Formats: sequence, structure tokens, C-alpha cells
Amino acid sequence: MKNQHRLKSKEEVVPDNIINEFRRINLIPPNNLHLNFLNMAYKYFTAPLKSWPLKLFIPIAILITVLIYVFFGKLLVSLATYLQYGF
Amino acid sequence: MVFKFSPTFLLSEIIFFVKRFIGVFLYPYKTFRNIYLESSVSEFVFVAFAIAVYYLFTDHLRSNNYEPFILFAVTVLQLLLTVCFFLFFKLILNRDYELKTVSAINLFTYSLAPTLIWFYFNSALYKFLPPPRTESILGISFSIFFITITLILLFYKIILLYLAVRYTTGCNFFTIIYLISLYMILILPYILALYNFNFFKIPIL
Repeated sequence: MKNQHRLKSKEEVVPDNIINEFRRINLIPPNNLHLNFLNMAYKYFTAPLKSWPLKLFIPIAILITVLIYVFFGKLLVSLATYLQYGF
Repeated sequence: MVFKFSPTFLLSEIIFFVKRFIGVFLYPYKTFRNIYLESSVSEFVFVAFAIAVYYLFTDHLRSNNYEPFILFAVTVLQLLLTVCFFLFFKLILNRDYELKTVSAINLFTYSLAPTLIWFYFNSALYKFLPPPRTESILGISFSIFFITITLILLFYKIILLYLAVRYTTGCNFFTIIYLISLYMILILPYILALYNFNFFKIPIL
């Protein structure tokens, strides 16, 4: 009877692979920016960058490029030409 | 890691490298964590090989002032100096954090991925659609496309450099920003010197 009511150890409740994954994730202590709102902002902005950041980068890059074209016009063409000689 | 240079070993290393190279773009945080935890010298060798191929390719495309081997040696040297710079600050600022030299080299090597892609992309475009661009609709469309790709790769470069410094030094966000700013201040005269001595217009950093 005693054995039936025994509390399960951490290893029995949580599988090894999950424990190992958490150890890997916590390899470096989380960033502390010393202010709560900064910590929240950091988490908010870095969350989408952790997997498939491309889906965030593509619209931002297109938006910036279009804004450059809207505000600076043909300068965009000069910039592209200059960069093409840059390799 | 024990090296056994058999075709099977080489093939498995290539598959492993390609998987990580793609992973850097899809899951940068997770991939960089894995690179920090387990790395081999062969990953650095593959990227070094890609850099060497790039210089040989561009040597045929545009006549460089220096031999491709010299440009390759300068690129590898600046990569190793970059790693040394951040490892030096890791030893000063965060002694408790585990020092993994091979992992640090590989982290900065993988952070070159967007730069290398940009240089390959740019040199291929130079061959098939040589500049200058015109102010026609096609020219403007191409410029928008080119600048968009450049910006996407620049964003990746920023994130990967940040992650490389984070996993190498184990420092927090603000310290990393200070370190990268210091690195930029030191590297700027070096870039100008390379430009003036006709080594590179834009170095592979």
C-alpha cells in the first residue's frame, strides 16, 4: 500500500528527453535588461525570430525598400548599382 | 572527434553541414545552441572551402589586384581575429562561462553564411545581369528586388552575429551591444585600409 502512494520522482514524471531539452535551452541564463517592460519588450520582439524569421524579414525588407524608393526615388537604382560592384 | 577520411564519413559530414547551414536560416537560435554544444573542425573547413571557391570564381569574373589565395588568407585571418577579440572579452567579463574554442570558431564561421550567400548571389548577378542599372521600369524593379534580398541577408547577419557573440561570451544583451559596437569601431579603419589597398570593396566579415 505504501508504494502506491509514494510521490513520483522528477525523472519518473518528466521524460529524460524533455529534461535534457530544458537543460540545453537554459545553457545561458535568460537576458535580464533590469527593467520589467524592457524584458517584456525583448521577449515580444525576439519570439518571432526564433523560428522561421524569414516570414518576418521579407515584409520588413520589402517595406524598407519601397520606403527608400518613395522618399529617395532613383537613388535606389544608384544604390543597387553601387552594391553590385561591391563584391 | 576522431577523423576517418572515408567517403562515408565525408558524406555524413557534408549532410550534417548542409542540415546545419539550412537550420541557421530556419531556426537560428536552436541551431546556434546546437553548434555551441557540439561542433567539429570539419564545419569550419567546409565554409573555408566555400570562401576559397568564391575567390577562385570571382577571380575569373573580375580581375582582382591580388591572388585569390591572399584574399582567402586575409578572410580566414580576420575571422580568427574576430573570434579572438570576443574570446578575449569573454575571459575578462564572464570567466564562469565555459570556454569552447572550436565552438566559438564555428559560431562565427556560421555567422558568415548570409555574407557568403550575398557574395555568391551578387557575383552570379554580376555575370548574368551586369551593372549599371538603368532608371527604366525593369531597372527599378530589379533594384527593388536586389535591395530587398540584401536587406533580408543583412537582418540575418545581425541576428547571427548577435547569437555568435551571445553563445561565445555568455554575456547579456547590453554587454553584447557594447562589444559589437566596440568591434565595429575597431573594424571600420581596417575595412577602409583594405579598401584603400584594393583588397576588397566589401570584406567577407
